Amino acid sequence: MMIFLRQLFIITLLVGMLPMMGRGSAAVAVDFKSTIQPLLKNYCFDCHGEKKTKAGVDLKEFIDEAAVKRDLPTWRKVDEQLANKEMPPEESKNSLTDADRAMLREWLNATIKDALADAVKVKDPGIMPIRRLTRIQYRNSVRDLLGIPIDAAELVSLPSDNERGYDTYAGTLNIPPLLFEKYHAAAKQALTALTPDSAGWKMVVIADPGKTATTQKTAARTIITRFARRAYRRPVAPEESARLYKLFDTLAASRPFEDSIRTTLCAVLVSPNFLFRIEQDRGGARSKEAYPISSFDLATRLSYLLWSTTPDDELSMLADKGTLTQPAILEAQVVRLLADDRARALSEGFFATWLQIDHLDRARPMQSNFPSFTETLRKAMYDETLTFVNELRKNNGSLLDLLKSDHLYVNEELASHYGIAGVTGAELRKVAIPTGMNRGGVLGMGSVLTMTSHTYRTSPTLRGKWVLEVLLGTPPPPPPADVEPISEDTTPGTAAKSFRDQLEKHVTDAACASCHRKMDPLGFSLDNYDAIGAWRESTAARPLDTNGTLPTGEKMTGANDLRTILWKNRSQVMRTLVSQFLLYATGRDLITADEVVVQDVLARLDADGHRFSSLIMGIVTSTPFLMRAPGK
Amino acid sequence: MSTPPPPVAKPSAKSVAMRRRHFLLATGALLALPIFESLPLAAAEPDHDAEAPPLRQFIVTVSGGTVIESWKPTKEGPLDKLPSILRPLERHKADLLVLSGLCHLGKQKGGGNAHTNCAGLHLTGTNEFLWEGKVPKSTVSVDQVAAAAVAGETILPSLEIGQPNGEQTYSWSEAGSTVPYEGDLRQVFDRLFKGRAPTVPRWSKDSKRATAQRPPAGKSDSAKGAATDDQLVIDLVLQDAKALQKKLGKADQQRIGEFLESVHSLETRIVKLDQRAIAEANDRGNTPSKIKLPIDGAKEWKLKWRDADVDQRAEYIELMSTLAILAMQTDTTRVVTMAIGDDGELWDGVVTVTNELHHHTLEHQGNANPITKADPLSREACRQIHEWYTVQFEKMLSKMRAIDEVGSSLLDNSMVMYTSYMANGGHGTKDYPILLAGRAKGTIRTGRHVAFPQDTPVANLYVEMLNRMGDPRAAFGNSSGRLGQL
Repeated sequence: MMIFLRQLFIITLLVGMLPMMGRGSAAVAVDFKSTIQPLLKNYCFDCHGEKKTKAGVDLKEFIDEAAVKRDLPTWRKVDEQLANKEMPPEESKNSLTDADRAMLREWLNATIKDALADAVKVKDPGIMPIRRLTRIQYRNSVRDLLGIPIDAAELVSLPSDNERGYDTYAGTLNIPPLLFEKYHAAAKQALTALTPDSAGWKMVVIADPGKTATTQKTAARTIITRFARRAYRRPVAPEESARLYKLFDTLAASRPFEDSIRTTLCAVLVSPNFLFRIEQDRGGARSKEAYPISSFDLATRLSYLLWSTTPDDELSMLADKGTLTQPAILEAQVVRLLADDRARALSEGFFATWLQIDHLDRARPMQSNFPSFTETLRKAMYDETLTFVNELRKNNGSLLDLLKSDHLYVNEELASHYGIAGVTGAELRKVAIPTGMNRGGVLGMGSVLTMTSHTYRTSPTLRGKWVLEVLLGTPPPPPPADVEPISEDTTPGTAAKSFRDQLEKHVTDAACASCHRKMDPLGFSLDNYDAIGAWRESTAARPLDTNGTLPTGEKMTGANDLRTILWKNRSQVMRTLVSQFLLYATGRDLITADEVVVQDVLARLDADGHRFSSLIMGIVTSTPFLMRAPGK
Repeated sequence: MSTPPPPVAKPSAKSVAMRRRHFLLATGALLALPIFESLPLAAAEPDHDAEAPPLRQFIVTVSGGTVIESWKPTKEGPLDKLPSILRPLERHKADLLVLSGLCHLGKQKGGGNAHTNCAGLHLTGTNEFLWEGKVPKSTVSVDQVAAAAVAGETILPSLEIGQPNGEQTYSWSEAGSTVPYEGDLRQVFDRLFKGRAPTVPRWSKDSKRATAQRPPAGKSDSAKGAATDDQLVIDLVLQDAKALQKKLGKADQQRIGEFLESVHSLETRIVKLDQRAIAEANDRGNTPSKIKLPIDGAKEWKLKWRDADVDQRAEYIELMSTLAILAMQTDTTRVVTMAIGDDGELWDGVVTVTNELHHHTLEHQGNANPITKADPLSREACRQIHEWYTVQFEKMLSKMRAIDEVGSSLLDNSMVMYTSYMANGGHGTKDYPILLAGRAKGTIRTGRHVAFPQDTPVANLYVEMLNRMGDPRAAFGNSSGRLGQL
């Protein structure tokens, strides 16, 4: 399907659905080369190493135990598959004996445990490569630096970033050839709006140029130095300012002051020192040990994480003083930033992508089947989800509200779509959920339910996949290429077989079954919500069947049972959320050491009722956020 | 059977390498002099120095694969009555070469979605499209190689325009990362013509040379001021970037390297614009014809693909292709790739046989293995969509045919490939819909259908195209040789 799998970090077990793992496997002396590798070669390499690397997993590249320890995310997935008896698959020619399976898992669990113990001892922040600003960060930074409400990215239609995941992911922040041309055009255009009567003039032109060439030169130096300090997010080196002064002087020889200033500021706005986030490597340090980042780099990390923009004056001032790294000051700043309206950037930057509601835009419910679906309804659905998480932030609410809540945010159209009376107007507002109504939390949201549907019907598969991937962090692999679609009659009113009967093929065909018996039951439990998320007790065409049996044999019926099961597994949902937020915050793949961070943040969340601010504070005070590995 | 490699126009290495700095050095002395009188009269005897119209490569690729039984002619050889999807091209039949049986055999590795994977193979013919974690990696695409081959000759090395991005990334740089497409009409226009009047070069009928260096000369007054300011800014950026590079580790240096390339591409463009302005100013023997822009007004620029209805979509394609053709006509670029559609559209007004209007849903319902299991109505709906696409493509060919270039048409001097990133809506990679239009300056024999054995790599065709564009390579992607029979 068109929805992309996002590679997730923590792939642990669907607690309760699966047998308990690793019973005390203290010191198992199993030799990797002689015992483990032959098993892997025999049972796994066919699909994960020799000729293919299904699901992107290549086990052949792990040549020793140390390599395994370096990539826990992959091996946790392996453990899950082994525990679940999903791998090796049933149709494979030779099956793994129970004894070998147990041995593999025992070794693996011991190895994972070892790796984690090491990770606690050695603080590894992971690598933090330089990266350009994202489209959003660029837009906001130019706006805030110039103090002019202008969208510089839109002016030149800057290409969008990673459309397959978080835009902060450094690996996808490419620099195509035409990018500089766009930055250049955007800066020039944005600066034409910086006129003496503009809002930003006073903020940028902080010295009076006077009338003479000498006074103008002096004023220009003050203006340029300050602007470059703000744009580069650090003090400007003498040779850097010298270059800028020289540019100004050259221009000012034949041009008016204002024009010369604008062109010089343009140079600042297209300098790699502004466009890239470049952190200071500790000079001369030969050691491989990680070190705390400077106050300047911390201000930048913090501001872009919480506000998606350049540090404001207060952060910059603390960075200049060098005090931002002090825990009490840092904490106070996090509180301040979170309380500010600009922290809405977290909802748009992180939550919308994690929950995949940016895909809502692609949903195309057929007008013939869903005449009540309008563009304003689509927008209300999107806004409901964003408002929900944004209000969680503002009220420092419990993140568990994502699974179960007693209120929601609707406007008149969305309320009537959900069957809630008494809401008027286009503005979204907080409404208590009437007793007995099947809403509350993300599972009942029109956005999620609509974007996981086909144009003319619900898709239990897509909905199940969404639950597995987004909430539980266990995405199924994509379907094999050239898979035969399920034939179904799409003419309204003629379906004879039940919907479940039609989709039954998913679980009878061996190639499909291993994933679909996980996805489909989860999705069927949501089938009371139609393809645009309205509640229905039955369908005209075919019987509604919301029963499901999970791979564990556990039975469930309807959305409430699914909510109950997810509630039982809330710690796993929180684990997924924390891992995803860490991924967003670092913009790099997660590494073994990050497991320690995730555990710490989870403990913090457990201790204080899963407050929103604990998630943020936990990540902001973690090793990968406060420290930096020597440049590689 | 294979035809011998076509006559190749080699771009001059000197012109490719020419950078603004060198140019300024070379002409610095002239800058102080009054512009027109001081310059050598390079164009005094126009025909001796003028070039023959060059070859252009224009790729038009639509989304959604095709419905092959309504695309592929039943017989090989001279084109008879065209199948329904191609029928809108009936009047251009003599200029078409339909190529069937071509396939992508490249592996798709490391997950990813079937649409993205097909897109990664589409213009690269790569051996292996893979995902390194979350980052898709392919090898360089045919349009980028062609662009590099003629980059020194024009203001822009190439133009990539249309909807894709997101799942459908067709163009890949030499370094293997994605080249974005510009979908905004205003931006495309500005890139091509902002600050200058579009002019058509004075091509020569007789010259055997397909390309030539324009006379190097001084600068025009109008270009001077702006270019100088821009160059000062660029110079500062280059100094910043170089200072930075010294401090960084290897991987980070590479990123700054990409940035520097991006800076140079603007620099080069400024130089080319200068050179063009000068050449035109010098060309006193025969003033270039200033052509009128066929599009104007604020409304059109705002039109975006996704929100458009069918008529607006046709209008968008028309405007975008007008710009593409104008870019080639004015020799602003010789390599254009235009991508149409993103599989996410509703086709109200085009699809009449089903309630379902969503292209992606129709693609899946209309394709199955075996094909007898597909829903025939959805398949017919896909056919209707592709016929509509061909109607739009026909307008482009008509426009190109109507543009005269000293006795031949722009179409005669072009190699237009019309295709799709999938073979069919079921993510197929065998038997792609591919046709060439235009005679590529007499190096392609049109009016025929050539059926190749199944599993003949599409990349074999790309080798042929690149050779014609002046890149002499004998292999590209997973090609097994030259395609031949063109």
